[in-house]
Amino acid sequence: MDDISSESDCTKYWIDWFLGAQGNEFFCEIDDEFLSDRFNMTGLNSEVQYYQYAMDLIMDSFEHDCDDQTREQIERSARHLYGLIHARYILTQRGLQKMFDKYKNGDFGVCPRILCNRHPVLPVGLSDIPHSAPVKMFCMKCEDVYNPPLARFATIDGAYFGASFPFLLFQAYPHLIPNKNAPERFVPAIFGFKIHEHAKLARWQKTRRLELMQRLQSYEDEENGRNK
Amino acid sequence: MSIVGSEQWSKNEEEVAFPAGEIMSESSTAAGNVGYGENSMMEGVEKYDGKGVREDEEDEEEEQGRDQEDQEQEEEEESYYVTFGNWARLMKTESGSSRSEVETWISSFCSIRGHEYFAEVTEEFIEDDFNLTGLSSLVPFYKEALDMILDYDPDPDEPSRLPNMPVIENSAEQLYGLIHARFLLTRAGLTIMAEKYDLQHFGTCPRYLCHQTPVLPIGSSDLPGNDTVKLYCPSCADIYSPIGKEQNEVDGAYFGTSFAGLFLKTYTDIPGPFGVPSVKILAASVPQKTNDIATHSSKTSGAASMTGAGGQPKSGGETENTNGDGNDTTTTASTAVTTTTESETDKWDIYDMHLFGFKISERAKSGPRMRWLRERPRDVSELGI
Repeated sequence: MDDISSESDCTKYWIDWFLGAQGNEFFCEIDDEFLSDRFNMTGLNSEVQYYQYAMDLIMDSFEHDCDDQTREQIERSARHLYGLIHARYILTQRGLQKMFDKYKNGDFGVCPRILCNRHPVLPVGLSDIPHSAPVKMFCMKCEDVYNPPLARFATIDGAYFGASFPFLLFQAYPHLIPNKNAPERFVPAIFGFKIHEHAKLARWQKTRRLELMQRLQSYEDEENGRNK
Repeated sequence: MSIVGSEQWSKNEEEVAFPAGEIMSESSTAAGNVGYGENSMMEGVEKYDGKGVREDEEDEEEEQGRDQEDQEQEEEEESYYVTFGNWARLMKTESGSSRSEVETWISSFCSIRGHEYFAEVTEEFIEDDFNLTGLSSLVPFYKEALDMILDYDPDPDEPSRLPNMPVIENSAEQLYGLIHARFLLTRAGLTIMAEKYDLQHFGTCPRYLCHQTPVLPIGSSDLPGNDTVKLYCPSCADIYSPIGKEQNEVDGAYFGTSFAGLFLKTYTDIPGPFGVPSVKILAASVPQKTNDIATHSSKTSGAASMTGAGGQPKSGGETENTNGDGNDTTTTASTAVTTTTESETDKWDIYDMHLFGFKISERAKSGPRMRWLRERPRDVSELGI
């Protein structure tokens, strides 16, 4: 992440500067309302150094005199703090709405898997604890996680999005769940003949899928019976 | 190739740009780029004999008029592509001018940005006509293109015989790609690609739980012009699109549909989707190769642990699964290096969807539906292989 100080851009808001910085394309803007509610920040002051200063910086009310080194540290803390608040914010209704819009725009990129047909992906953390793993991309079509394609996203902490975000989004917007009734499976072939082991594996996986379909059908029947 | 030579090229280009463009338009309208008949091609080449060209063109002026727009567009694209190639080569030769060795067309082609996947086909392979059977009907200006690939100097006495360079250059690229696809299936080709595979020239699998498994280039068709190159991951047995923009423009037919499968059949020590194949194959494989793979896997497993508690959300049924498979692999491949088996157990990982730490049930509408895609039998013998 580049260390351009926001000092040079006094006219701009800190959040605008942060969202505009390269590599921060996945973040959405957090409402002032959410930021000003102290309840939402519970526990973050022990996580972030110079918490109060960092908070002031995010809110554009930082008016302290300090040397460059401290300033830089506060700047770093502010970015970290914003990320952690972001992880909480995107689980709220308004946050989900904002991320939904970004998802619709394809701001997060597409699935690298060929048979997913460029299905859009969502950012996901592998853990909610900061500094454990960088952000990954989740594709709802194949239900798998991928490394982000660009190196600049590899430095973003996965905790800034959290491990639950994509799944809550699909709970909130169930119409986003793609149709998975006719999935395809790639089987490698030599001169047009499928490789034996791989074809066997594909068939085995197909039976697993059919078993799942049967289970789902039985759940449905169960539910219908209960409703009657 | 010297700079003087390329100056001469550009001169030729200016001189014959017009007729060559027209000949090209004729040929591609007649049969398209792919199904270009051998006869029509021979005619096209013969027409370059001095004045004959002009006469023939006059007769067919009407026909060309129709397609001129299309062709102009095509020409534009081609020339852009090719000038880039020329430029790259010029840069190469300029920088390496101190060396006495002149760079060949093949090595300069392979060093162009976006051509990282290509292996250098040996000249002996290209010089054997048998290996090129049937290609003359697929590639326009076959003979000139072949000469260019092999760096045969064009006859200086008859400069007018040469159609313009971008067209030939384009044909040469296509021809080289098709020869390349055939070459990869030979022992020499497989060996070169194995080296490239070990050096991860094709990149690694984008799937997080494949832990940076090196991938292989694969085409979805053996005929040019159908689809771009894809990447096959041996660990998850799935295909992905390359990350780079330039690589995404390379034709998949230049690698072919069979290469990846044949490669894995040849180098059986590469961990497949079934884990370590068996003790027998591991012991029989080339020792140097096994070492490479072992170092790879130890590296990747190291990296995985470096990124730390990355796998934290995986728990419950996941670990059960992993343990089962881990036991399986250790019993079947007790002689294998420990690092290899460790990374093998990692490879059985399936991503589980969690909401606030709770696994999402199958009964939910947003519940897991695609686990089968990454699932493997705990016991490989369940597959009957």
